[in-house]
Amino acid sequence: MITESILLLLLFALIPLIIILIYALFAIWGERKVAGFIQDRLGPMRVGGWHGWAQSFADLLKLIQKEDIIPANADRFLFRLAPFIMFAASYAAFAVLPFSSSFIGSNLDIGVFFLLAITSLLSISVIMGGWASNNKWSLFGAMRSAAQMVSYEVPTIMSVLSVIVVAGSLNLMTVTEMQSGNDTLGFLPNWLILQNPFLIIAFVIFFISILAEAHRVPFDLPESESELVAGFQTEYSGMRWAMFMLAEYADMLLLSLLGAVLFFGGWNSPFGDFMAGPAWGFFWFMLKGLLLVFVMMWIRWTLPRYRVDQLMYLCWSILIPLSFLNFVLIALWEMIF
Amino acid sequence: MRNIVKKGWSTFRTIFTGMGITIRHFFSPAVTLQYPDEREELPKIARSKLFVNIDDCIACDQCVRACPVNCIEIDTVKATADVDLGRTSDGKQKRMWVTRFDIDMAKCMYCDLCTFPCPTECIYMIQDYEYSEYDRNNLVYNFSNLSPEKIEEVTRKAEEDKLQKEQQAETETVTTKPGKTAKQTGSSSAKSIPGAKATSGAKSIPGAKPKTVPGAKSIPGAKPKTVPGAKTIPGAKPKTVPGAKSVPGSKPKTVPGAKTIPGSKLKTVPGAKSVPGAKTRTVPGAKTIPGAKPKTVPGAKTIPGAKPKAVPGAKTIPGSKPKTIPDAKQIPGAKAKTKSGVKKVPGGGKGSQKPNSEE
Ligand code: SF4
Ligand code: SF4
Repeated sequence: MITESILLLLLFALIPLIIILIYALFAIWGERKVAGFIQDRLGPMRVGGWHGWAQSFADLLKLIQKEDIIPANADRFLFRLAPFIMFAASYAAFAVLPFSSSFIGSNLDIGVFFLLAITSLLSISVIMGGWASNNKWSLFGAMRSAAQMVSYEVPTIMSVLSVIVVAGSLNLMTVTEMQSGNDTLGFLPNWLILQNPFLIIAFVIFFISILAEAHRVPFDLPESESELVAGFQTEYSGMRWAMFMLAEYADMLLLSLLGAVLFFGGWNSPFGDFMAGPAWGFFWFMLKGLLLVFVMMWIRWTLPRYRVDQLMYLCWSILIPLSFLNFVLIALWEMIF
Repeated sequence: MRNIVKKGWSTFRTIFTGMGITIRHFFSPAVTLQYPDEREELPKIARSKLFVNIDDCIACDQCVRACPVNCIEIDTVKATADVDLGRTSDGKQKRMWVTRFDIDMAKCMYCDLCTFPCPTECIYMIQDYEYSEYDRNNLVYNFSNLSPEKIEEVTRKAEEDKLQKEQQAETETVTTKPGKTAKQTGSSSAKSIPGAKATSGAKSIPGAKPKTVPGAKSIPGAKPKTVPGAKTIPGAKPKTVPGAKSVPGSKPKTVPGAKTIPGSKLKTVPGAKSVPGAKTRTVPGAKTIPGAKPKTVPGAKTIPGAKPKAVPGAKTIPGSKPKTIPDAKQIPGAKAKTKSGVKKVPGGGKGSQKPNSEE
């Protein structure tokens, strides 16, 4: 009985993992295609036939075969541990995301809080990897990452908090459910972003912050390949590097999905009861998340990278005051209406 | 405050402008050419690889001289008169065998300078740009279409032809003294010594005509011109032209007037230096019978098909020692072999390189 339930639990836990793996493979391929198209190229075209869809599988095979190199003076234990912690942190956060009306890994009442707390481990693993590599570029990348993630956590949390104030719950399932229906102005979905003008500002702040949290351009300073080789990943190779890559793409998806839950109604169909249901819910949820991921890629190939001081200025001088102000305004709005 | 709003506005405006540009490109068609699957049509004047239409090449060497980096190498052999190499497509008569036409594309800098001087326009750039090789030596393209055997053959023929011409020239001028002539020629050069009239006593009598048998040599089917009156003494050997033997059916031309004294040896001529080591001295007693067939001298290598060109004074015939007539040199116009002793080819019988080169 006990083993059965454990097996069931494992199976249950595997579902997000499978989603992440499939998503990561195609997101990496997709990112290269997006990059190619935006630059009037074609991107990978040769592996697998149709538009090189199997390119990531080929890359994965290559990475598996690669030698696992650990620098001579590295801290071997931390060096090996870092990728796993990073991926574990991203993966654990998926537990509280409501993939559809009938599937959520763990229906925690403190879901958002858990998610934000567990993703903070990401910065620890980045610092761990950068420090353990015993490489100055890695260390630079790790330090930048630490500064960046600690800073941008503040606006992220403030904007999330704004949503929570409106929704009145930390449980993501509850937050999603309260966005059901199409009552806004009579026909628009009841998505939070459409219910409160200040939530639009909150979303902008949130999106900018998750770009920084996920190390995406224009905030990819921790791994800015043009200055730091690959930042904290410099010394990693083979599957360990692939783990970092996987965690990074998982993190991207995680934060995008969080944005979809908080602002775009999660698994709710934009057409009310049309195309609704658990399966459609999963479809809409992933679609919203992937659209945000696409916007991240789109921005990546549009904007240049911030300088470190600009990054800090943007966060501490603009986003944080703005997010606090916005939080207060939203609270007032909620009190008044 | 106003400033901040303004700044924020311009920030988002520029970001959206940029994103608008990138999304436009996202939907615009790619410019990529899927290279191995698709290829661009090269312009007509593209310079990518040289090609030589060897059938049209007249071996004029213009392209070789034009090339700034010397990547073209041509070897030629003059065709003998009996061969017609044909004409190029624009009507020029071809006179040379192109035994080698190598272009080293590894050295080529694609300047195209070699193609313009070509009178027959047979060297030009083709549109093949996919000819990378693992070994640099494979980038040397051989355009000559002659097989090694053919090259050897035409080369040899050309040499023989040259020898023959020289011999003719010489015989015309030489009045000779006949040495006794043991002429054996080694190989190809049949050297019946023209002009050697073997006088009895080996003295060349002035005024004796050389019996240059120019046409005699090598004409297949030529009869021996045994001159009546030729006293072939029994035992005398006709100087059969060694080269003669190679011609099927060619008769030996015993030179009339050659009086071989019976029993005379080769070096009967005073001063005649029979070259030591010369092989094939016809031994007296050889069949001197008129009409005798040429005695092939042992050691004479008959070249199949080679026409014997009895080169007078063929000194160059490998292996053949010329029988230089000592007095020969007095003959005005005598070529090289005029110096007595000159042509002794040490160890005669060398290959058939062109002996005449010393001239
Ligand atoms: S293209 Fe120029 S470099 Fe090449 S073979 Fe001709 S002359 Fe020489
Ligand atoms: S210039 Fe033309 S004809 Fe003359 S040698 Fe070169 S290829 Fe032959």
